[in-house]
Amino acid sequence: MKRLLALFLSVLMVLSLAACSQPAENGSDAQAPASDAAPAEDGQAPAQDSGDPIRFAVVGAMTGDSANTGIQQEWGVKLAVQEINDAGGINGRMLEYEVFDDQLIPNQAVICAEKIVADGNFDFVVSPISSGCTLASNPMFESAGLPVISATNTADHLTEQGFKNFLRICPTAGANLVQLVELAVDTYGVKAPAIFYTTAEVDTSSFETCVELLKEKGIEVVASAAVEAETEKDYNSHIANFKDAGADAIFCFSEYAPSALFVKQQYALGYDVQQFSLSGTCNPQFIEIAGKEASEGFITMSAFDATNPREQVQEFVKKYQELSDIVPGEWGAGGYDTVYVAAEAFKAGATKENMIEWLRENCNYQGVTGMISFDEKGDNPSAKALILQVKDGQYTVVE
Amino acid sequence: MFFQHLVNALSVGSVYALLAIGYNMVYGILEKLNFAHGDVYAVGCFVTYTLMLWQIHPVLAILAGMLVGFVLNLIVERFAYRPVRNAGRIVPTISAVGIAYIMRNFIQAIWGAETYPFSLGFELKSINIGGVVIGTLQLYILAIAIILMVLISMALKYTKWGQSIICISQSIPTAALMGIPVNKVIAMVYGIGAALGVIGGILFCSYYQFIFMGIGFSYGTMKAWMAAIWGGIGSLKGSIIGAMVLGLSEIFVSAYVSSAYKDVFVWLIFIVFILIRPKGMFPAEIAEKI
Repeated sequence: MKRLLALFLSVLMVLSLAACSQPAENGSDAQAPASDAAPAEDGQAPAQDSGDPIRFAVVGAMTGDSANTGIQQEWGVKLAVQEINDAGGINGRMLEYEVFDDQLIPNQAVICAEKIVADGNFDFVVSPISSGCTLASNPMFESAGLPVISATNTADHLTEQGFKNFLRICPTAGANLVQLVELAVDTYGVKAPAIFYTTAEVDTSSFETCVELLKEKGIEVVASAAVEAETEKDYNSHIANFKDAGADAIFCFSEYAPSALFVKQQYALGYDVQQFSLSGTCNPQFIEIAGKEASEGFITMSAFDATNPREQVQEFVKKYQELSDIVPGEWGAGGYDTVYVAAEAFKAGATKENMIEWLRENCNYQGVTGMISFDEKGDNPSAKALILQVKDGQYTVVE
Repeated sequence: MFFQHLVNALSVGSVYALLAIGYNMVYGILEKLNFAHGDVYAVGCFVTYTLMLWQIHPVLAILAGMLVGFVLNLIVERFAYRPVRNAGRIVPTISAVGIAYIMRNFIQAIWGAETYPFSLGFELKSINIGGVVIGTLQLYILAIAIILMVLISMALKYTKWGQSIICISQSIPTAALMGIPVNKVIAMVYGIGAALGVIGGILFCSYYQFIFMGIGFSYGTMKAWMAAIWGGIGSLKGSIIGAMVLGLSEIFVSAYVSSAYKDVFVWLIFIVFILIRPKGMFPAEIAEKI
């Protein structure tokens, strides 16, 4: 009996540990949308014959504190795949995808990349949500000749690495920061800002760029705080320091959860100054966690506006809501556009080997996030983020 | 500003203290590293959270959460700890780590991995004394931690069960020879430890007003373990004071040294301390009492 129990517990433990790194297949994840994944039956190289599916990998945080981002991205991917397949696929070829959970941790992203490359049957990859994860995993994709397209990696230096296999459709954090700093200094008259950021790759890089941009405008940052988002949830000492330093505004660079907690604690301490943030905080969960009162007036950015009256956007919003029950944010819209951009290339006869080159030279696609084309570095020159402000518990476009 | 930091540090310390009390009960008696403590009570906290979403009265929801934590730890003790109790230190530790992973993934499967807002439903007020803001919940948490400590100390000292626990902590074979139902008492200690952990976890969630799957390991296990070591293994008073020291270290390092490398400095302080006083601030004398 004891042996049986020990065996049972051991199996449970192994399964439990394995669940941390297994791809969410066929909707096995409680929260993630059901994947259309259909793993290859053999280990042969991808066939290019008409009728064979086009298989791609989706990497993102499906578990952990930022799971919301990966799950939203997958809803967008799923919707695009459904639409394309319902319309007969791409030149008769159906789309299939498999989800890999990197938990927003770079070393986990590398493990995902190893699995994807080892599979050998993927035609392209929808990149990890976080720039840090992409930076860690992309060399492996590049060495395997796998094209990687991102709709969420905003760190400026990503496209300065010389990656030959990488394209992104979203605006860069640097470009967003220029807009944000101009708004803060020129419109709001900020003179003594403080910066709250997490130690994540993209947030540290945003912090450094923001300090430089503010310096160019003759503004010194009076205080700053870097936090480890996974283990630190109490920000009262930082808020007290900001207050003591006389900060008249706070820049928040993080995913939605840390900034939401920060804003909530700031409100509780009665310290009322304007906050500015980047797209990581443009998520309904931010308002839900921070609360309506604490989040009121919070300024953030997004590469996607769900209230845009354009027919394509509204149709996408409607279908996305039907599928997921939530209003799409930039992760969902980005995932959707990424699949359509890749589809453009395959439709024109491009293959995994020349897809990136084809997209660089020919892509001029009107997506739900805006016009998408690519420059030599792999950036989308048309990408521009919108500035949003929380009003009455809702994000409202202000610029 | 110093006083604001001090208040914040004591508040954080109070939260850690509540989490450390339940942990220290088990740790103090069996001296086994229970790395599953936080994740087990986190399940109870999520049950409370769900019941409150269903409009169940918070008191009933908390009691139900405590009951779940209690029962769950009885099961864990019976099937994961008891069979390996006499297998040295490493085997039970690994077993506990395994249970922690199972519990965390169980939470993830049922409730997901997101951070959710958490509120017990009452308005959080704060008092401003000369520019220093003190939250009323901070005061309640400190008071609850002290009351629990006193109650547990009294129960250990004046009840038959308490005396049995003290006896077991001194020598399990001797306790068994004296007719104490060792297995039953140890199981109850685990169960009560988890139920207390649920109270700590719920107050932690109320203080920060959120709940997520990581509340158990990051706070309930690691912080409680540090507080227990700092204060003295097996000492309830020690665990509270250890938690306060931990809170003070974290907040003051964060405020005056480095926020980014807070954990590095706190761990350095911790390591230096245990090198000097490996048995904590209140070692043998109190360790024998429990």
